This record gives sequence, C-alpha cells and structure tokens, in this order.
Amino acid sequence: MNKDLFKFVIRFSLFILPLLLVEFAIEYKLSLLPTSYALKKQHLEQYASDIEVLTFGSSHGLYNINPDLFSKFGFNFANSGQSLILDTKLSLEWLDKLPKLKLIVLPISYFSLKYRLIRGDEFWRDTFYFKTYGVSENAEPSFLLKLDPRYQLRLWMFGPQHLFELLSDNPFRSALLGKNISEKGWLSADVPSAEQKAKFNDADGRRQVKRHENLMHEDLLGSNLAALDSLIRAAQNKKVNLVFITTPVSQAYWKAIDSKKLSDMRSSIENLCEKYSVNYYNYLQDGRFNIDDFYDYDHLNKNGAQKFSRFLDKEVIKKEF
Amino acid sequence: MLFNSFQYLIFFPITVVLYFNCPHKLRWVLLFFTSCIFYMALIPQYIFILFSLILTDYFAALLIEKSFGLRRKLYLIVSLAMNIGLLVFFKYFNFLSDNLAPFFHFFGSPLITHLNVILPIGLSFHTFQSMSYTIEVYYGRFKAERHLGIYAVYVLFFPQMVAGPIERPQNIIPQLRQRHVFQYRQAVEGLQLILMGMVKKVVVADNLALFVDRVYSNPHAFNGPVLILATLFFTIQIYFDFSAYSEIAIGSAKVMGINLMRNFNGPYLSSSFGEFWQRWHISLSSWFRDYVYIPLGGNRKSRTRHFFNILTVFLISGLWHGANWTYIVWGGIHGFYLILETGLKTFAKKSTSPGVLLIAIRTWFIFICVSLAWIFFRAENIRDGFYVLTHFFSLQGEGLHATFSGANIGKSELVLYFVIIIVFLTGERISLICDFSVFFQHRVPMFCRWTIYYIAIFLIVFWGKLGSSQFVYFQF
Repeated sequence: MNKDLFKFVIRFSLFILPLLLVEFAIEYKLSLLPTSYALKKQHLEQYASDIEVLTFGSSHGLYNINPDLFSKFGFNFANSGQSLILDTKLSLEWLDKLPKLKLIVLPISYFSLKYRLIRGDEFWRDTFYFKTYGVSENAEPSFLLKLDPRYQLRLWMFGPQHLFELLSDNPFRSALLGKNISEKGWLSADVPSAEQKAKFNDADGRRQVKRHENLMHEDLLGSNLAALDSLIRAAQNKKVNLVFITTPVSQAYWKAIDSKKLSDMRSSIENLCEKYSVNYYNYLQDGRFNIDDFYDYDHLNKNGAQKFSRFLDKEVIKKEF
Repeated sequence: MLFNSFQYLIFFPITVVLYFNCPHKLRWVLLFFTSCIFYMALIPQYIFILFSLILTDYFAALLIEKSFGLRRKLYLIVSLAMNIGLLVFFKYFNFLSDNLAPFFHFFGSPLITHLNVILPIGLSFHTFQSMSYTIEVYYGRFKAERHLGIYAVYVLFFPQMVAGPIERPQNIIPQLRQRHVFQYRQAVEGLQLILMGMVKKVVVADNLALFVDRVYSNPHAFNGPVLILATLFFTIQIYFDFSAYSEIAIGSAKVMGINLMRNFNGPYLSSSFGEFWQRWHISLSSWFRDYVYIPLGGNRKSRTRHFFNILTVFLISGLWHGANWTYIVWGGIHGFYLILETGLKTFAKKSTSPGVLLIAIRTWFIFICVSLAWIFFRAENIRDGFYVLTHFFSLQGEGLHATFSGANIGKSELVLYFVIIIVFLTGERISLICDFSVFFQHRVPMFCRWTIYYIAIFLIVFWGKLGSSQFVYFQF
C-alpha cells in the first residue's frame, strides 16, 4: 500500500472511531424509547376485539377525529404524513384482526390523491411503519434508500435536532413519543391564544396550501386510486362499509386552494363512490367551523376536533351503521 | 446527485477508491461512467443532450484545427450555434415567447406556444465550458483533443459539471492525462474543503434561506426592517451557497489529485466593483472577459464604446443567470456600477495607497451596493424587487420577531449562524494575507484541527438541513 494511503487510512480510522462510538451509544439509548407508532399498535391490539369504526388519514385525521365521542367503539389509526397507500396497506393488514369492524372512515385531503410519503421530506416515517407494522410504501426499498442513514439510524429517524429533548424529559419528547395520544389514537392540538390567533393571515394560509401542492405529483393519481379500489373491494368482501370524508380547513386555506385541482380531486372520489356505491362527506368548507376551532390553517384544535367528531358521529357514523 | 445528499456520501468514497485502484489507462472510463451516474441521478434522459454537445464540439474542434480562413470560422459558428441554440431552446424559449407575444399579436401571427420542458440542470455551465474549448482551439491556444473519452470527461467531470467552476481545457485536459497517485496532503486538503463547504451550505445558507424564502415569496406582508434583514441574509446565503458548491467541487477533485480553478476569493472584502468581479464567480467573470468583453474591444476603443462593452457583458451575464427580467436588471445594475466606477476613476486624483479606514468604508459601501443589486436577483418579479427597494423604512407588515418565529429561527440559532459567518469571513480575510490552508495544516496542532473537524460535523448533523435543498446555482 502507498505510504500516503496507509497514513490516511490509519488517521481517518482514528478520527472516525469516536464518532462511531458516540453514534452506537445514541442508537442504543434511542432504541429503548417507544414511539407514537408503537403506542398506537399497542392500543390497537388491546382494543382489537371491540373496534367497530376505524378512521385513517394523515395529520388531518390524527388531530381532527376523536373516537371517544363516537356512539360506536372507534379507533383513530391516522398518523402525520400517512398516505392513502399506507391507509390501504394498514387496512388490509388489520381487516381480519378486527372482528367487530363495521365501518372504515377514510379522510381525503386536498393533496391525498397525488401524495406519497416517500416522495416528501418526511419519507423517513416510512421506516417506522415498516419496523412497527411490517408495511411500507415501497414494495421493496431501493438499494440506495437502504443505505440512507435517515432510513436506518434512529438518530436521523427522530431527527438529530431533537436528540437532547429525547434523552431528557420535556414536553417535546412527550409529543414526539406519542404520550399525548389518547388510548383511541387521537392526538389533541392546543387551542391557540388570542395573540396567536390574531397572527393568522391569508399569506401564511397560501404558504400552507403551496406546501401541500408541492407534495402533489400527477403521476401518483393512478396508483393511489387503484389502491383505494382494492381497499373498497376488500372491505366490501368483509361486509365492512367504507366512507370518504374531507375534514374542515380555515378560510385562509380555502381561499388559496386551486379550484381546478380541487374539482379534479372531487370528481375522482365521486367516480369511485359511484362505482362502488360508497358515500363521500365533504366538510372542507363547512360554515359551522370558524377561526376559534382551528389550531392552524388546516388542523382543528382540541375543541374544534370535538365539535367535528360529534358531527361525524351524528351525520356519518350513525347513518352508515 | 446533490453534494449535500447521502447518495453523494456513498458515491464519492466509492469513486475515489475505484479511481486509485483503476489502471491509469482506464481512469477516463471510470470518470466517464461515474460522471454519467452522478448526472443521471437527477433527470436521466438529459444525459443525451450532453452527449450531443460533446460529439458536436469534439468534431467541430478537430475540423477547426484542420481548416483555415472562412471555413475555420464557419466550424466555430456551427459549434457555438449548437451550444447557444440548446441553451436558448431549453432556457429562454418560454421567456422569448412571452416577451415577443405582443409583436406576434400585433402583426396578426399566431402566438408561439409554451414549451413544457424542465431545464436540464447545469446546462448553462457545461455549454459555456464546451464553448470555451472550441474557442480556445479556434484561437490556436489549445490543440484539439484526439481522445473522445478524455474530451467527454472534460465536459462531464462530475465535481464541476453542474455548477462549475467553468474550466478551461488548458487546466483540465492535461490533468486528466496525468498519472495520479494518492497523496495524503491533497486528500486532507480536499476533505477539509468538502467539510467546510458542507457547513457553509447546510448550516448557514439553507437555514438563512428559511427566512429569505418566507419574506421574498410575499414581500408585501413584511415591514422595512424584515426586508432589510432578508436582503442581507440573501447576500450571505447566495455567497455561502455558491461558494460552498465550488469548495465541495474543488475539494472532491483535489482528493483525486485534480486541481480545479478557484471560483471565489473573498468577494465581500472587495473595495471596488472591479475587484468584486475579480473575486466573485471568477470562472464565469473570466469567461465573459475573454470571450465577450475583449472580442468586443474591451477598453481599447472609445470611452462610449468601452461603457457599452461593459453594459453588454453584464446584461448578457444577467440573462445567463436566468430567463427573467429580474436577472437582466441585476446585470444592468452591476454594469451601471462598473461604468460609474470607471468614469469616476478618470476624474479621481492618482493618490498614494488609501488608508485602512478608507478601505474599510469602501468595502462596506461595495457590500451594501452589491446587496441592493441582489434584491432583483432574488425577487420573483421586477415589481416585487422595486417594492423591497422602496419599503426599507416601512413599518407596516409582519415584524422581525414574528418572521423569525415563522421561519423557525430562534435567538440561539441566529447567534450560531452569525458566529459561523464571522469565522468564515475572518478566515477569508486571513487567506488574502497568507496561504491559510498551509498555515492550518502545518502550524495548527493536530488536536486543534481535529477539534475543528468534530465541531463542523456536529454543526452539520445537528443544525444542517441535510439532503433536501438544491444549490441555488443548480437552476442556472
């Protein structure tokens, strides 16, 4: 071996060794922490024999639906960034394990039909699904993805910036690890203060819509609709009803929505509804919700979620049962 | 592939190991394939555009070398037309069709439709690098390369193919023929550059971008102090972003024993506009100087012609950066600055060297003028640019506190970024006096050097925005 190369290999190994040791220690420490995914799974298994209504979705489903207020035994199986593909795969995985299940409530957000978790910034969440439930958006994660530390190392899966918060006991740790998640899977969002509410504005609403539009990819529409197709058929085979809903958004968000994209989304869902005789309940711009009900531009706060869950029970669940 | 992606973290060491274990004769093959993989990680089919450029310019150069007179010129024109034609088609077609639409409409001609194509990444860079090759062969300053593979690697060489430095054939092609052996010193210097470039990009530039993007996406919603700060942040962001890319490119090539040209040399420490352009994006500035400004006559013609030449070069340079009037205005402002400076120099007395205080005042003045010009470079349109420029003292709109919290930047982060910026600018200042890398390598104890490396890695891991954002200059 070249003398220079030998010197480099020795010095580089010595340099990298402490970093590797620290990383191993961090990984070990983080492996002992539970996650919101594991917590939900634990509750789901606990109530498997009682669940009659199962709700899915992304953060819109997670924050906006509180199954405690349903007249039937419900469970919220939503999670931040959860896509329709994951909703479908989780449903198919759990259909046989929930003997009393009669209704699946599937929230469709503005972006859902053209969205996939692994195409966005939060793709690392997919690993948690794989590690916890054995499902993944990827049929087979690509070779490069398997090598990506964000997909493999807990430090990146949780986010390095949160490390100190995770290893100490503070409110962020509680939120990240799902400690605020109710036994039926609902995560409540705080009611903003008057000062925070006063800062709500159209420009930030537009920004949030833009953020969602950036997550939309035209080429995903077909495969997402196909997944829904298979889910409806599987549910109907098991004599389980399925309904689509769209949760409320604030005026600032509503005003920034592209009408063409929205009408495309609606017509795709309505076609599916017509094909399989399922219902679609659209609360996107529901006059019964005002700024006091929101946590931000597209998520309801604790009070708003309770209000919405009552409407859902009265107008959807009771009707569909 | 992005330098700040995990793919590059895997791709680069593998390439280096293969490179030094590959027989010298086959190294061009390795560099050719790895460069193709690097480029194809973005939009694979666009590699064919590059191949067409390579073939055209390779054969054009051979024909230019063999021919004389008009025929020689004709081959050069064909090569330049191919390069510029591709650039116009992909980059400027929609801009031209938008701006010429009223004329077509006036004459009753049908409107030109919009092209729905994505600009191939780095097209402006590799067309300019390709053109420099045929022009150098035309002027007889470089012999046409016979080996198609070596020439292809000159255009495709992955560290600098998508955002420069825009290299001249004299610097790269002979190095591609040299037999490189692994050298400890070069590898360490290269890795130092990569590490520092990563800190500049993912810790400073990408985090400042959160604030800048928020403000510049809707400047009407913010008050004057926010607009001023966003402009200053963008001034730092674009420099840290682009110089980081160049440093990672230079560092990556250096590990493999290939020296790329320096692209930045402390531009914000310049005390005149002329000096700024000798220190900012040196490879592009020198390209325009050698292939546009000097052929136009440079400063050898009348004063009016000289000023016209300066303005022309800067307007073209602005247009090179993007198909938008904002870039043209940005170029125009710099042209105006330089014309004013050149004009004033004639009237100024020839004095002895200026004092430290005068240099400091001049440096700040240049920095402020350059920052003001960046407004148009960053603004979404001319109207927004003028809005920012004329509302620095407005008190209406969202204030600093709310904007920082909206961009998720806390006080401690702000202090951290400020400290890093000061450290880097101080390092640049020292580099102007002595060779900082030699000083760092030989005078600073290993313990201190390693501590600095660990701090850099710590900053990247805990504060860096990894893998998500492109380099600003990728769009050009």
